[in-house]
Amino acid sequence: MENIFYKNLTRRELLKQSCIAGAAIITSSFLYQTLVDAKTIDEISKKLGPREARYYTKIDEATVRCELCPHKCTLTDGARSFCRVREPINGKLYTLVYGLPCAIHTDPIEKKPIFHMLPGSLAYSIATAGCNLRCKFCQNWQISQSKPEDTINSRLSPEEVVKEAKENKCLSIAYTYSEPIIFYEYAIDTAKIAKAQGIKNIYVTAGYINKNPLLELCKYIDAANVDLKAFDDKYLEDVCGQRLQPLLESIKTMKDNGMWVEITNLVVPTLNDNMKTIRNMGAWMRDNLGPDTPLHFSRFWPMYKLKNLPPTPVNTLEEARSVALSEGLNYVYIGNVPGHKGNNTFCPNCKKLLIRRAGYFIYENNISKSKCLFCNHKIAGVWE
Amino acid sequence: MNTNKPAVSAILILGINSIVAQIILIRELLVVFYGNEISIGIILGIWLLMGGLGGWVLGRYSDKIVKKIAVFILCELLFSLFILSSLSLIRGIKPSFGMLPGEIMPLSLMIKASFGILSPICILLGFLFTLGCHILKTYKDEAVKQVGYVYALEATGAATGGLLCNLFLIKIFSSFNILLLLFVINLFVILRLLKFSEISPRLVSLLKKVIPAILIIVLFSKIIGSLDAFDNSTKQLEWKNFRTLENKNSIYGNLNVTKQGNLYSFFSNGILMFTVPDELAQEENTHFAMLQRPDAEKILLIGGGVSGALEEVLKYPVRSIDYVELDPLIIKLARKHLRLAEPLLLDELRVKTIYADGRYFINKLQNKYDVIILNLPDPFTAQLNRFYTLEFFKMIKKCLKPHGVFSLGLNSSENYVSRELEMFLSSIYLTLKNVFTDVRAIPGGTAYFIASPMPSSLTLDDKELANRLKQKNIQTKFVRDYYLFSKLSKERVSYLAERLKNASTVSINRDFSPISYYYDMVLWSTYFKGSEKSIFKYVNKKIIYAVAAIIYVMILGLGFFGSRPAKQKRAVLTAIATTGFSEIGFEIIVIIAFQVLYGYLYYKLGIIITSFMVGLGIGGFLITKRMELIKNPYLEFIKIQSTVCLYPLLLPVVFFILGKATLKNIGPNVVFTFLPVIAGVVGGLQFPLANRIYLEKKELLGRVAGLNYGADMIGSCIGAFIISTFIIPIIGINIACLLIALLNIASLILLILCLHIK
Repeated sequence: MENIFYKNLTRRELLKQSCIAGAAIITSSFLYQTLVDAKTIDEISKKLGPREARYYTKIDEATVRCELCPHKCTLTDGARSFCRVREPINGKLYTLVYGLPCAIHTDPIEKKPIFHMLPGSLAYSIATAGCNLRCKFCQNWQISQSKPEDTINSRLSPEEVVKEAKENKCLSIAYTYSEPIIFYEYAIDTAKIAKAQGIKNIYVTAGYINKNPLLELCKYIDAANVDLKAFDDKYLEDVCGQRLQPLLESIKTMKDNGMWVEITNLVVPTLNDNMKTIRNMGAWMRDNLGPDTPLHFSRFWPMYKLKNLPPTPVNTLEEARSVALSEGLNYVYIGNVPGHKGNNTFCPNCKKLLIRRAGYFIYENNISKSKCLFCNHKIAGVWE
Repeated sequence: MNTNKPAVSAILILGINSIVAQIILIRELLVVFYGNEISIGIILGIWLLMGGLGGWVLGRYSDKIVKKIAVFILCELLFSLFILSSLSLIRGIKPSFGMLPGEIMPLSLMIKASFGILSPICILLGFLFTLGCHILKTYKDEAVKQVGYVYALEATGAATGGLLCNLFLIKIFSSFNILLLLFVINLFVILRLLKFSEISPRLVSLLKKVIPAILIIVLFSKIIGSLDAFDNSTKQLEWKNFRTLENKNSIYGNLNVTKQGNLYSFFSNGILMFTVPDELAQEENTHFAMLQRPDAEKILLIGGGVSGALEEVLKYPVRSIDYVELDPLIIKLARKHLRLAEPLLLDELRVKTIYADGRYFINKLQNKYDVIILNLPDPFTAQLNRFYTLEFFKMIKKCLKPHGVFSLGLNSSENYVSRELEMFLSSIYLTLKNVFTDVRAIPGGTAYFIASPMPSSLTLDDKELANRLKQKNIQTKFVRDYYLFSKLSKERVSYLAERLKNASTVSINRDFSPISYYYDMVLWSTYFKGSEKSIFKYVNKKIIYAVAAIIYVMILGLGFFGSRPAKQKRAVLTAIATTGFSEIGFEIIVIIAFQVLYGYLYYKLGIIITSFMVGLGIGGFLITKRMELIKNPYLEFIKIQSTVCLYPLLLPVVFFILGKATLKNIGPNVVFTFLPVIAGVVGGLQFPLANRIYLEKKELLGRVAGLNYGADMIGSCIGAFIISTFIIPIIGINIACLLIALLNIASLILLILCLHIK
């Protein structure tokens, strides 16, 4: 009898003790959380300068579908989009990053990389938080994989961006670092003003955007560097959270609508360094974008979630370059290996050195009036 | 039937089993995990938790089991099988969860994998412990003594196993072979126990044939090498398309060398250390510092010499380079695989290679250097954090000439410095600022901090630096005019400087308040978008104090309800749990303090861990021997509890004295051998007494042993998880000791509250 009594008590006492402990921890953390997270949507909006989004459809009173990118998020009030910067408030979709860049730098245009436009000039470069991809090797993951309320933002209206660009002697404005598609409204408003004032606009993008918003974008953007991260649907899905077909469509649309397009392919060792795939990509570019479209093979550097994956061997990049050249592309570069011969531009006709680059620095430029100084061959690009 | 001897040896070997399995599996798990304090905490925490649950939950049922030896044999057999298969499971975690090679593991997967792989092993160990108590029962009639003996025996086994493993096995055998050895030993134990078991003679004779057959098969496949081939194939699981040249263990951990194209990559405990050739990294690493003093004569390089840094420094007209490397295996593998000029360089007249802990070396140093380059991984563990503290920087300053330069690099981000990164970087920047007059930060994917005791003696002017290169006629591929121009653009340099200035709430990194490794964990948590981030979001000093206060009040509250006997038992159980928590805390604190005071001396650390176990064993034996003489175990328990309260208060005083005094051998050899013994003895004394108090209340043996074992383990589990992850970095070792003392005082008060004075 006594025995049973004790047994129960011990069991009960342990249970009780752990329940009390659990309850105390849960309540205190809950209390703390409510204190900290007492931000309503209104407060976020006040802080983040929301603007109504351009591309979305209303489904019902509180539900919208974003039409900006192929993810087509269906969102109800208070839910955040996949790209982390869009949210419906009272049945209207808002962008939360309008005028709130978190990275602002004046970079050489070569850093984008754009090699066939105004070499040696500066590009006023801006980005906001957020991205519609989830690349495991992202170089700028600290902004691209963050919500705007978690990043340190500046307040800069489109007018101010253009003003700053001019003051910093930049010939172009680059929408870059994260993914400019997700700050679409901010970028396009800035681009309109810049274009009117004779400043070029550059989009550095992974190209994951729907056709209608892209067509509008094409009116104002002069050049784009598009990441074709692999010519392989499975890789794109597993490593980046993107699909191949819509991306290829976008690149073609950009090209067809007069944008100057350069392609970047980040070569990640053992994951997308298959030369057969690279050959297919070269062939597709030649047939769909033309042989004059520059292609940059960029060296992977251990980053973000792939921090423990070794960098790409330079000879892999060299091999990729010769494969792409053999497919008939005229301008194939090696990026992220400063000082490499593959940084230079050669004339496709006379094979002479046209632009000698090291890193983002121009040592020599033999292009005059868009033509090769030696053989007068026309060099594709925007040279003045 | 006399099962005395086989039972004693079975329990001793149980102790060996648990410690060797723990050492090997933790090492192997850390290779696939990230290796920071939180991942160590998770593994150790889960280990203790599941061991505790095994002892407690299954222990309850052990009283009802009739064929106890048979069940013991069965569990031992299962344990041996699990332990043997655990390596391939660990190495298969990443590929089977669809992770890419080189991808860092999220916390959720670490927890899932540790649970999945360690649970069966630890539950069995816990259950074997309670079963062990019963087996010994067959010859010792007093239940009280049994548990005490089993506890002490297991601790003795663990001490032996720990010593054996740390000093001997790890040096000679691969992880797989050590576990294989364990497997074979367990089969022998089973063979010996068979004749005492309650199973049918037919089964016994069958097993007597099967087990030797298995042993012969193992021996045979070992000889023909198929077991090692299997082991090697599991090592390759993560690195599918990479060529692994070598995967070896040194006492310091696992080293892995892969080759891809012309690149050789060196991994230490699964973390990419460096790739060769990587001129960009090595040029940045060395020239930023060297260009500040291009006429430097004496250079000290701490770590990373074989990655190409030596070659770069030798481009300057230096007179001598001292190169300190902890693990000789790194240099051995570099010589073997990097058929570059590098191995030759190590032998060059100007280079002296010293195998030592960098901090240990610096501390003893009389030389003065012109340039000191720290080339170690970021402070992502308490061990590495020692190279980024105020105290270490002061030592560096002592070894620098008045115009000397010190440089270090930290993982950063080129285009945007997040709040978490800002905290991490500026904690170290601020610490440097406290020691050096001139500190400059170079932005980039890796941020370099250059410091000098001489005011305004450093420059980041790209033209000036490019000029110095030209004057000295130094050939570089990257760090030169074109590169410095964009790297040191005014806009980028001032962006980083601005961000470092902004962070005002950041604390200075000190030896005994090692905050930077905590900031690094916070930074790591931002890689993931799940639970990782929220764990760190709300933890700060105030929260730790608040939670501690709540726990104290809760412990005291336990003395205010229920009947007296129930209260007493509850008080004892609480004290056992808080002691478990404290013991693990003592172990962590003593290890950190030792490394701070004397450097990372692998064998000494092994001895510290063994000393704890020895202490546990001594305590257990002492009290069990004296058990008859003790009239009032509850009162005795209270006395011991008061020593648990005093011990943590002693630690800061001892560390302070050792830090000030120059006790050459006494400090590292005597004090640090006995400090852990004392901690162990205190814990060892308490456990058997707790069992006696319970058993006097007519409880069943297995239940009691299991309950106390469980409380001890759960206390230690919580300790393992939070002490090195949160408490030590955030509030520092001294206050942590105080909090632990207060925790034990709360238990003491509870015990006194429940004391019945006649």
